[in-house]
Amino acid sequence: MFSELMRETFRNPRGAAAMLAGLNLPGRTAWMALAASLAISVLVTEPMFQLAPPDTFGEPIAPLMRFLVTIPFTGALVWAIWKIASIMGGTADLAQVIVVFSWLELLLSLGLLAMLVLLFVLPPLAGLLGLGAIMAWIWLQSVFFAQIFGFATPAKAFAVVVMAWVAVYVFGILILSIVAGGGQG
Amino acid sequence: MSIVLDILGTWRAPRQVQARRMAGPPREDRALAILLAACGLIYVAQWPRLAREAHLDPSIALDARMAGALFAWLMVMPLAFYALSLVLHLVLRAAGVATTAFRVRQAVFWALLASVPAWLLSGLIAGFDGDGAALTVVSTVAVAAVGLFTAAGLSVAGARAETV
Repeated sequence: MFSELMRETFRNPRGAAAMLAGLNLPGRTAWMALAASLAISVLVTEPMFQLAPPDTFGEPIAPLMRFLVTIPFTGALVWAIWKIASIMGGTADLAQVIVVFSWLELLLSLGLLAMLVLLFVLPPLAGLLGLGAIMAWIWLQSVFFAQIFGFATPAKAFAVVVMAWVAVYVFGILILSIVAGGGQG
Repeated sequence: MSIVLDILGTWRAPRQVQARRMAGPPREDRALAILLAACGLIYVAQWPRLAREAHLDPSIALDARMAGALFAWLMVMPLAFYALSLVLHLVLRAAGVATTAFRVRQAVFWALLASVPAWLLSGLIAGFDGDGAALTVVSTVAVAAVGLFTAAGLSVAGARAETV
């Protein structure tokens, strides 16, 4: 199943998205899958934070704390993608969106892991591979979400993802400013 | 490899390459991939300039500048190019040119990708030499290439629509 899904993701992304949506996993299982993929993502990216020069990524955060911060942010992002897409006529249910997002998060982690390996073998190419992984991730997100939401073009799904990112980012800043303001007052 | 050869070929014979790439049924996923590739490479072209600016003005660190440019080029600009293509399509339709929104997108996105060598060169000049005559000339060439390649693609798209 895993290798078939991996193969289909790059050969026939719409087919792979349909395969994932067709699993019809219950909501609780989908959320667990998302948590697991985020845990893998934190584990994969942790060495990059360790290897980066001091202050590159601001104050260092313990992996467990980063995982706990990432969970609500990503949960809100997935919910926003689902909600905005539904408003724009998308037909997928939330569990399908979570499953697709989890799969793509796992693929991004694998791409970043390859980048980490390349960092030791061919450092100049590592940055380009990382950028390539992010570009492929954005493209796959657009195609996968277009399929499960029933959009004719991946551009519409791309716009949904961008709007969701902006909405969650703005909302996050608002919450943080309220929390920080409350803490100071 | 054919993409690289097509990019080089577009500088020699833009109409022929655009016509060949427009053959076949509409593939929206491919159009988006071309646009993301173009925006990604133009983002890479910004790196030397960003490094220079971070060196000259350390108040904003290089990683913050790169993160901002990443968001701009991989999230905002693709949507901007979709909007630009839509506007161009509406203008062409108002002018009586028979073409489809997809073919206009295809023409614009490929023009952007084909012009990437000029963007990379202008990025290098911006990084090593800063503002100056050389940067102005190469940047003008890059913008002109996008315009010319788009025009070539649109003429092909218009011709195809008339023959259908």
